[in-house]
Amino acid sequence: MRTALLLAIPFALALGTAHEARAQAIEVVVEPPAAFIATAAPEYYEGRPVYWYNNYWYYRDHGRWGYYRSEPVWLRDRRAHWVDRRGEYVRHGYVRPAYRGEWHPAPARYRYRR
Amino acid sequence: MKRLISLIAPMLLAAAIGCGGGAPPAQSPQGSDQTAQAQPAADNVAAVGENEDDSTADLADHHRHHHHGGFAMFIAMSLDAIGESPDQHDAIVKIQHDMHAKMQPAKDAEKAVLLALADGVAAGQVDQAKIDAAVAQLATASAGVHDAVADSINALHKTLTPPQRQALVDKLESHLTVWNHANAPDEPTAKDAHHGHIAQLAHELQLSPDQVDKIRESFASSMTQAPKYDRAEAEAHFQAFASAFTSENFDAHALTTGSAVNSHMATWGVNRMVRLYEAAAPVLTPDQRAKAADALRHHANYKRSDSET
Repeated sequence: MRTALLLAIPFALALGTAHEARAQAIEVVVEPPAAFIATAAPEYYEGRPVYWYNNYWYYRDHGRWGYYRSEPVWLRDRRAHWVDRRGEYVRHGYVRPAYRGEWHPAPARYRYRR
Repeated sequence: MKRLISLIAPMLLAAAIGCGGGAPPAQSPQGSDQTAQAQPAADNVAAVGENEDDSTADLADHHRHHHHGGFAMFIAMSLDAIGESPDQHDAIVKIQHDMHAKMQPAKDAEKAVLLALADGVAAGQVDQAKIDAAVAQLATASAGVHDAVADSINALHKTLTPPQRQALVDKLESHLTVWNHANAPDEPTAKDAHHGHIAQLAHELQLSPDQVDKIRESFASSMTQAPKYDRAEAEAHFQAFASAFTSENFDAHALTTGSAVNSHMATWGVNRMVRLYEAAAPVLTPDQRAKAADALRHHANYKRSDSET
C-alpha cells in the first residue's frame, strides 16, 4: 500500500501539471512581426536581447521566439521608468524617450523617413 | 507507524493532484521566471503584423524603394535601434556613418535608376535602354558594397557585446523578412493584398478599381518575364553571417557570398519596382503620372535625416 501510494504521488504531480498546461493552452501568444523587431530597441536581460510586445517580453531562442509568461521583476522595473513622450515621437528618426534617472536603452521604435 | 503512513499518504496524494499545476515555473537561466515558446505567425502576418502601424508602414515603404546596399544596408539600419550604451554611442554612430558613406556609389546608381524611371513615368513611356544602363551601373556598384564595408562590420563586431551581436542578427533577419515581403514576386496575384506596393500606389494616386486591375494584370505579365530572384541565396548568406557574427572570431572579409547577394538583391528590388511603374504608366492620367514621377524623384533624393548631405 505504502509503495503504491509513493509511486502514485509523482504521477499525480505530473497529472496536475498536465491539467494546468491544457488550461494555459487556451491563450495563444504569437511571436512579434519582423517589422517590429527590425525597428524596436531591445532591453538586454539574462544575456540576451528582449522585446516588449503585446504585453509580453520576447526573446530569441534557437531560431524561435520565446516569451516570459510572467514579467521578470528587473524588466518590470525598467519598463516602469520608460517615459513615452508621444508628442516628440512624431518627428522622424529614432527618438529615445526620456528617462527618469540615468540613461538606459529605450523601447522606442525607429521610424524611417519617406 | 504503518497506520500513520496509511493516513498521511492519501492526503499527500490528494495534495499532489491539487498542487501539480502550481509547480515551480520553468526557470530562466538566472532562475526567476516562467518562459514559453510563442506561436509562429501566419506567413501573411509574420513580416508586418495584423495591423500595419506607422513605423511598419514606413519601413515597408523604405524597403520597396531602396535596395542599393543589400545586406550591408540592413546592418546599417539595424544600428538605428540596437540599444547601445552611452559609451558605445559615438563609436556606433561613426561606424554607421562610415557604412553609409561607403554605400554612396551604390546609392547614387540607384538614384539614377529612380530619376530615369520618374522621367519615363512622367512622359508615359519609359526609356528601357536608359533604365537598363542605370540598372547595370547599380549591379556593379552594389557588388562592391560588401568589400567596402567589411572593415566597418569588423569594427562593429568589436564594439558590440555578445547580446548586442545577437540583437543585430535578429534585426538583420527581420529586415530580410520585411524586404522579401515588400518585394515579393507574387504580389500581382495577391488581389486581396492591402499593404503591397500596388495598394500603396492606389492610395497615393487615387487609382480607380479598373486602373488597379489593369496595372495588376500588366505587372503580373511583366513579372513572368523577369529574371528570378533566389531567396535561398540570400538566406544562405544570412545564415553564414549570423553564425560568424555571433562567434568571438569574426572577419567580414572571410564571407565570400556578400558581393553576389548584395548585387542580386539590389537588381531584383529595383527591377521589380521598374516593372511596376512601367505597368502603371500607360494606365495613369497625366495628373497621376506627374504625381507618381514626383514621388519617385522624392525617393531618388532620399535622405536619412535633415543633416545628411
